[in-house]
Amino acid sequence: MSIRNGVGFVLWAWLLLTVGGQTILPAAVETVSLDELQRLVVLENGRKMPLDSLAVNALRQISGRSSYRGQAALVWLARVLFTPEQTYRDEIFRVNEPALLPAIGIFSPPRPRYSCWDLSGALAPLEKLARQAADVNDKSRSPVENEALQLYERLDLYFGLLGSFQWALPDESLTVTDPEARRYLDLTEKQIRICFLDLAERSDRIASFAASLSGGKKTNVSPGQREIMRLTTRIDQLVLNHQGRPLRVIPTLDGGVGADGEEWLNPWEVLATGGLKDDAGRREITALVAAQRAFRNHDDVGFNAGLNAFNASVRGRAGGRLFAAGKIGLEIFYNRLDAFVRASWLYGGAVVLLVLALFIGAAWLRLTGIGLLAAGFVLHSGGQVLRMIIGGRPPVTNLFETFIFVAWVAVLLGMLLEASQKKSLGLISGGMAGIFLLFIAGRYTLNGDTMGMLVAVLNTNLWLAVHVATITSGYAGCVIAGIIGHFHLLQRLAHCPDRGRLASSARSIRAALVFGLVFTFLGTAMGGVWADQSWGRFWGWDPKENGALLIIIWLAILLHARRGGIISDLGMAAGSIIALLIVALAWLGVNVLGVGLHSYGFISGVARGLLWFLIVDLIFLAVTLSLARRRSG
Amino acid sequence: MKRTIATHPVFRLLSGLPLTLIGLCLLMAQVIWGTLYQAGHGLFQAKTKIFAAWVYWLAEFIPLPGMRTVAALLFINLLAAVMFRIRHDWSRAGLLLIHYGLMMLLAGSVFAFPPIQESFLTLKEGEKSNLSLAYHQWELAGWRERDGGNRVMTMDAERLRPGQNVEWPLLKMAIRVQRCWVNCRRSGGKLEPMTAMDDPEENLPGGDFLVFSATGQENEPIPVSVFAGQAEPLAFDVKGSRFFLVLRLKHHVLPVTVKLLDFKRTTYPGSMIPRSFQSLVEVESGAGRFQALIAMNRPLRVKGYTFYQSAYSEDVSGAESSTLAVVRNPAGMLPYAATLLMFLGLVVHFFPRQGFRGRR
Repeated sequence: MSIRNGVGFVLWAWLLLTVGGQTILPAAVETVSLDELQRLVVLENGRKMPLDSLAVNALRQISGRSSYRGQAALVWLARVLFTPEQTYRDEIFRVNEPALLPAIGIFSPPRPRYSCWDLSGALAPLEKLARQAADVNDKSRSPVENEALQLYERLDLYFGLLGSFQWALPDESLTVTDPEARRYLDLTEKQIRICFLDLAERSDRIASFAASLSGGKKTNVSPGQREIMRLTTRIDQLVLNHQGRPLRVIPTLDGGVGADGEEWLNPWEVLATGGLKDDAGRREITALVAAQRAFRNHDDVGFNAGLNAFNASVRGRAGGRLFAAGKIGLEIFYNRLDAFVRASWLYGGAVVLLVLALFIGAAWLRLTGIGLLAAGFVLHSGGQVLRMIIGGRPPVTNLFETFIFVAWVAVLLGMLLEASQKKSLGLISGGMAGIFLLFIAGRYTLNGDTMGMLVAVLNTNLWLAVHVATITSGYAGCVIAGIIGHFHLLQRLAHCPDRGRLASSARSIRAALVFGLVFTFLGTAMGGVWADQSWGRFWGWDPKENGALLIIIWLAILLHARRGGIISDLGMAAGSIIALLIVALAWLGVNVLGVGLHSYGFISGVARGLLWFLIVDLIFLAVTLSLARRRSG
Repeated sequence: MKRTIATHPVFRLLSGLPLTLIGLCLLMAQVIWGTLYQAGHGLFQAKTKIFAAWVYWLAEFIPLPGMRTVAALLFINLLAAVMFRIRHDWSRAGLLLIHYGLMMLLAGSVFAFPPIQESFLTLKEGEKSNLSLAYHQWELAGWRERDGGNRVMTMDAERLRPGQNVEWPLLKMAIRVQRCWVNCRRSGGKLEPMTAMDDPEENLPGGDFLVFSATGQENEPIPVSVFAGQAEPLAFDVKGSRFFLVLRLKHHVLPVTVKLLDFKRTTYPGSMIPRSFQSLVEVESGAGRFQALIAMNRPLRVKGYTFYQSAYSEDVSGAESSTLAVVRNPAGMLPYAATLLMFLGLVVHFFPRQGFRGRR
């Protein structure tokens, strides 16, 4: 991350917090519908998305949750945008590392989340600490330094959103009292504390005033002229502060920046660049002002009418050329569907029922469990397909999507195994893989947008589809084999192990391992071809490549040893658990090393989780294996 | 006859499954160790000491088999297995395909034939060149001013040894190496040796030399110090002729001349996320000239060389330059063929018989 240059963080926060007046208005979100607001198209990190997605991503990033006090993220964002003064005391800022608190001057007992108000006294030390941390190599940063940077980033995001509509709110620093200046600017009696928009509307007068002052040293500057000079300085400061900040909702088709001359501006930039002189610019700014005022006045009709006019204008100018309105609607549906969270709940229910059915033997429980699993799978598949349509790209393009996809393949494999074995083991294993992997995927949503744009080297649908999807399918085979391996060892610890079930699970392990070997090999080979196409070498000993190679070698060892009778079904079960651990290391562990071409997308906390998983699973393996051997021997 | 050989204890050992498993376990250990080693010492050292080594020296004095040795062991094991152990019939077609493919891969890694030549070519817009530079191999180059750079003699820096004489009769010059170092620095007008870096691209070689005119070493030699870190070639006069010496990244002469017409970098709107890097080049060879676009995932292949978009830079004046990686890999199709064989083998061997039921 980068630390903002120019105006200091503390000053920036202070400037924002003093805008909008001291009058705290009652909440408007209970009376205003946000239907039009969610459809607002916004450009964020190169991607055009509905405002609804920005709200979810921002709130997740800041608070770790997708809702605030039971209300949707969009409701929270609407308050931040239109009634910012109401959100200062919202407890949204998570602090994951309690040791940071005393370092920034907070000595009260740690709480999971803090408000902007709680942190207002800590901004100066936080900024200092974050600047120091930014100068440290990311591998050498302490947990406190990492957390300082992340908290800084969360606050920066919040302040960016907080300021995005403040151009239409009266600003304390834009108070004009001098009669000469007021006359010159043609202000009405009520316009004492004016807003940036008021000045933008008088940009010609201010420009001609600046021109009259330039070109010579003025010795007799009147108080009125001094007042206007102060305002021009303040205008420059405000423009600088809001350049490149959210919300970029106004596209310009004649700009020279970005791909194909496409450029999106935030309202501050539109006002600063004389956008009011343009018909479309004036129409859209006016519509936004109307919406903001209506929101603050609890006027549902006015709010939606304003946004509707804005959306219609933007879509009329840019829809179809710069974004597809259909995909925007689809993304809103995807957000509402929350497919992966719901699917994980369904998988959870299915696993509970199927395990109960094993013990009780009730057929209806098993059938209900199968139904829940199938429903979860349909929802899971739907979420995956929606992402592919929205992004217009293959199913796996980032680390988040690897978890989603591997979970999907694992559930599918579980169902295929069940189709042949009919002992519930495949379904339970698939369901467990689904829950576990979707849970980890959920952690990755805290990083922000999960549909971010692809960097140049990944910007190829063919190789992404072929290589990544194939190798992650191989991972899924090993995951299923590993989970069944756990069950196999537990089955052997039973007083009277069911030999039929033991044989069935052994066959399932072998089939899943073979699937894992074939797909990991194919995926690795395809990765080699892609690397050869992109970088000129088939194999480069990159840690991720090595991870895949380790999986292949280990599976080859297991299958050869079993074929040669060197290990039994018990050994295969133990080996499949080790295969699962190797997959975990190849998947996430290499990112800890921080070297190579694939060391991306790692989030703090996963390293610790991975380590615990390895330790616990190895202890499980050692204990169950020794007990099983003693029992069988 | 075959049966007799196959049952011989030595061949049974060589073709046996235990040797396969030992080899695979060793291979696994080396991959793990090499990956961890890479995190601390960089890829080049990991490759040199483990992945491409015959012997790995533990703690600098305990010899352990390097990955090449293990690959050779597995190659012999596989060769013996397909010759003496695995029956050649249609039911084992898949198994045989897998093992033949693997043998091709192992043979490629053991014998590393033919070697891959990797270099780079950096061009500003409008510039052209038929010379690419090595990433970390250096050469000592010398020329006379009066030849105008048309007659340049070179010697690989890694072959320079103290006491060695380098004869360049065409330049009427001979050089005797007094001292040379893989990495050094200039201090007080003298070269000082430094520890070689893990990343060879960080090394700056240098050396002290005696230069003789080619008419005989009875002449008074001229002592010179040449350092890779110096900005300009070292100039000196021998018998009225001006000579230049320089330690520079090794130059490879390409069979084509490449001219950069335009470099284009695009980002996604409103972000710094790179969307594409593209170099429009004009390629000139004996057969004529043509234009080509080199982009990420879209290399240019011409006359056995492949040009990949690798990097770009922009100077203070805003002039863009593009760096193309230049690779010559005569055995480039070997891994393609091997992996294709192996994949076919895996499919034929496992899926028709087993599906998702597992072998009973």
